[in-house]
Amino acid sequence: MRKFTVILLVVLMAMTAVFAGGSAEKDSDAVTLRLWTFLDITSTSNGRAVVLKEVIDKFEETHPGVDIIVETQQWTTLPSKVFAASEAGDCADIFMINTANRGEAIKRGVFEPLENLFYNDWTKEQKQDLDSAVFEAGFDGTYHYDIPLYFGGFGIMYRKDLFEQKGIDPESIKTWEDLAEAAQKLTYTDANGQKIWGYGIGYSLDVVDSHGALPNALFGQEGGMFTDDGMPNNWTGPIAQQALQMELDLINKYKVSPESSASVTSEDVYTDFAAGKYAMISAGTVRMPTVQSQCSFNPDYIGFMAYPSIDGVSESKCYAAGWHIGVWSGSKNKDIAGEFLEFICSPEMDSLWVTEAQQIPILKSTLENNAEFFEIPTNSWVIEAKDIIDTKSYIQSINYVVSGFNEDMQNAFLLAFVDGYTVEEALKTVENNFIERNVER
Amino acid sequence: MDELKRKKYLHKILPYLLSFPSMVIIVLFLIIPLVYCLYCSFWRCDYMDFSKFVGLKNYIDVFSKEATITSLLVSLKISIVSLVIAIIIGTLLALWINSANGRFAYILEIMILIPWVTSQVVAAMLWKWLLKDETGLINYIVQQLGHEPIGFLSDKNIAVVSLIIVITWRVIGYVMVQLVAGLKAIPKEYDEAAMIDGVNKWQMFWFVRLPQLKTPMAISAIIVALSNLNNLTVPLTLTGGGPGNATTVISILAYRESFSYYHFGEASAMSIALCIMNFILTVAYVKAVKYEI
Amino acid sequence: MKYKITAKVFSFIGFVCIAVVNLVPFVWGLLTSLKPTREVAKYPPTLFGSEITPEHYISVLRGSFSTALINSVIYSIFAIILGILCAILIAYALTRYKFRGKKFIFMMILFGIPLSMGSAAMVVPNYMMFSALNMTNKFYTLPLIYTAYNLPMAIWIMVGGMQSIPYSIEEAAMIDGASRRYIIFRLIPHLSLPTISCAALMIFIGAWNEYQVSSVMVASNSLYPIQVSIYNYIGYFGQEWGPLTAATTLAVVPILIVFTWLGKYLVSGLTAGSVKG
Repeated sequence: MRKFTVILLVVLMAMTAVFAGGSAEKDSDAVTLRLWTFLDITSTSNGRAVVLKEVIDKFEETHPGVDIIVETQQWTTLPSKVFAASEAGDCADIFMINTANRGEAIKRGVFEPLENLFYNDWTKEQKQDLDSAVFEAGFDGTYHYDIPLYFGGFGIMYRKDLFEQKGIDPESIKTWEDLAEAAQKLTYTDANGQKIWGYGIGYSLDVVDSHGALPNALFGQEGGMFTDDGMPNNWTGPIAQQALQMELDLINKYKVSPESSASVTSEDVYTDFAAGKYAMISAGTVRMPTVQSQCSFNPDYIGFMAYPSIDGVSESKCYAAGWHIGVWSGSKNKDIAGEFLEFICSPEMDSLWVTEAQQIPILKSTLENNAEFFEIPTNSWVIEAKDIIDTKSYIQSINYVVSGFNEDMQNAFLLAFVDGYTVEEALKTVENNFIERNVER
Repeated sequence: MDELKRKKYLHKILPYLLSFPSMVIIVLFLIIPLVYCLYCSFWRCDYMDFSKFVGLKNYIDVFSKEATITSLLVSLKISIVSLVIAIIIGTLLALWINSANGRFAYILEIMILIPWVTSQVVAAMLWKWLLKDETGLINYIVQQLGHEPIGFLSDKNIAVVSLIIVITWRVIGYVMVQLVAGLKAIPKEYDEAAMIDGVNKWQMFWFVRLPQLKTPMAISAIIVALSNLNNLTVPLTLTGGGPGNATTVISILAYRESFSYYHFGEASAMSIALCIMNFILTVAYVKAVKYEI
Repeated sequence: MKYKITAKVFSFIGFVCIAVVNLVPFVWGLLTSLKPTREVAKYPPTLFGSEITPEHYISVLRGSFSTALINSVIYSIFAIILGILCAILIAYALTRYKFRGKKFIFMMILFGIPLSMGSAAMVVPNYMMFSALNMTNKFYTLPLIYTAYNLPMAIWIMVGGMQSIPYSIEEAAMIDGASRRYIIFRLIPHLSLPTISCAALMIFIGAWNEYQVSSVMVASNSLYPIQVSIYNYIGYFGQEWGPLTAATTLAVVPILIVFTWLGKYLVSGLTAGSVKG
């Protein structure tokens, strides 16, 4: 009996060895491309994963002999792994990286320029169709490097039904004060004795996002959040102070957000919003499909709007970010990988992304080609989101490193709220942290 | 004669041969990475690019920051408090299980062990799901009882307590198992002899059993201390270091340094410092129980 | 008599308390996993949803989770076999021989214990190094790492266990003409069975629950272990609580089975070791 077990185990081990090793040794004509993403394409519940699988299947159909293997990574560690793997010569042929690390990846030569792949062969119309602020932000003067995928911006996700009940017009919210007043009306205890909060946001540093009043006021102020050489621009000025004070007031003065905002992550806030605990939350557009699929109320009731202005004069800009897909410069099959990249942003595939995964379109033409789709109430937010990203957003420059600034923004709040710093001290502290981390190294 | 010589030679090299496989694995997967990490810590190593040799600058930078010292203290505080509680409760449970018998004792034992044998990520996530301020099950019950919701994770002081509870909850099982094993190893004659001398239960524990439990207690203490000190998963999942930096332990700082800022030089320096603390603890332990081999 | 009843009441209360504190998180996870998607986050919470549905389990098992489950089983078995084999050999050397460098070897093993608890910050440098050695993303990468991470502890336990086996048994066997090979591979393992089981359980827990290193060291979906697969439900686009709780419940089950079955060896194995320890 014991011998049998041992033999069985040996056979099992040998089989895995053959199985794992076997995939690498196909006949020499076939090309295997590795693709690093954070999506698990075996998933049936995640729309984007489903579409990615469809795209790959279609590509493999039209390109016999090409095999694309998706290697799912954890999204939190994917950027580090791309950098390390690229240094070690072991990166995937096609990979995704987030906006915060896009500039660094370009600087370190991780990307193969699109001009060397397919971009130079494109017609003017094609180029114009793809052109967007996000795409252009990745232009270093000579080359483009990536296709922005899964792009999104931050703003206010709100419950249309509750707004209607309380007679509030979302259009009337122009300043943060308007928002606070609306939120006061929306903060109430429901029939079950449960407290519904007017406005929700999570400041726990476990999940960092550029959301809330402070970063958006800074992005929108004159000169933006960063100077051209990547230094903090006026982080301690009156606008920043006013915005941080507003973040505190929403909890302490208006009492429209729970005190636990300091300890919950934005992740928790999405879950609680889906559970019906909030009337408005500070949220990213990329989360709309997930929230819609999980909410305990009618998903048609979820609306999306841009952040209000802090003083009614300066505009509010949001941080727009997402993932960028590109070809690794060390890949042995750059040409075919480039073809896949071109395929992924073709009009047909873009329509697929949009209609099946509620993706904000990459191409301008997609918006026109799918007019019917956007008329469905559940999808109408996509147009609003696209507008916010195109006109009211800050897209990180590739010229300087601003690592950790999202954390600094959340940390400013935490220092003021939890540790009792004055607004000015808190801002000064995070500014110093930022400089220490990114500039004076 | 030749045969004898060969045997003698074999006898001499045999221990090395027997140690070889283990040592290869340990050196390759534990020691060499440590050395490599030490090497990293002397470099400016942003994005894993060894750009400049900086000597001890990373260490100086890291430890001249107030945040590092604070988080080190938080780490120590949490580990020590958790250790003390775990040892006390673990001992009580072990005594109870030792005195109980049969199936009841076994079920009890398995139940106490569950937290320790399950994945930390899973356990921490499920606890968070229970402890959440707004929609957690526990606060729901608290509210149903007519109380204001408690800020388990949002109050600066209570969050530390919550973290200590979950970390301790995880390790009690381990302490318990070690001590039950220790109790079972005490020869019956000791108890009987003590019984004849007419000692009471308390004296029995304090003078007869506790001295015998010294070793298992020390073993579990060191393992628990090391595992708490290095724990990243539970604090990161449960509180994310918050609110503010109330529960930011040193491992969270090192994690951020590498996965948020990509400053692998500084991150390595922190890891090495943490390792040195671990080594000191280990040596202290070996000295304390006079471990001889 | 009165005393006995009070004791019983107390032990009952204690039992209930432990059951609640130790089981509630898992039971709550189990209940959540059986609710329909839209009711998972519903507040106020209810024990059951409007219906009990296996939908999350189905979607989890259809996805990458099944592969990961099988991988983890194979990895754990491999790590246990290799780890125990190595541990028996070195523990025998350490307890039966006096040799130069013995202290050094033992210190290295002791230091290995905290090293194997690992710092997350070391993961990426490690990845770089193993990449350079071309050892990442191979079928043997994770089983070897799991073996290495749990080996120091296993050796420690084995040393304790072997110290408690009287040398006279071996001497007797040797007089009877037993070979050294027989002693090391048959007699000693036979005598230290509880200790071996205990060490094996330790390796199993370690291998089954490791997450951080596994997520970085391999890249191919066909090589991922179970904990990494669970993390796929905490994605960039949001946590999917339904599948997440279903996956965690499924991941806990094998551990529970193994422990209910072999848990007794944990204590007896450690008992053998703690005589001298």
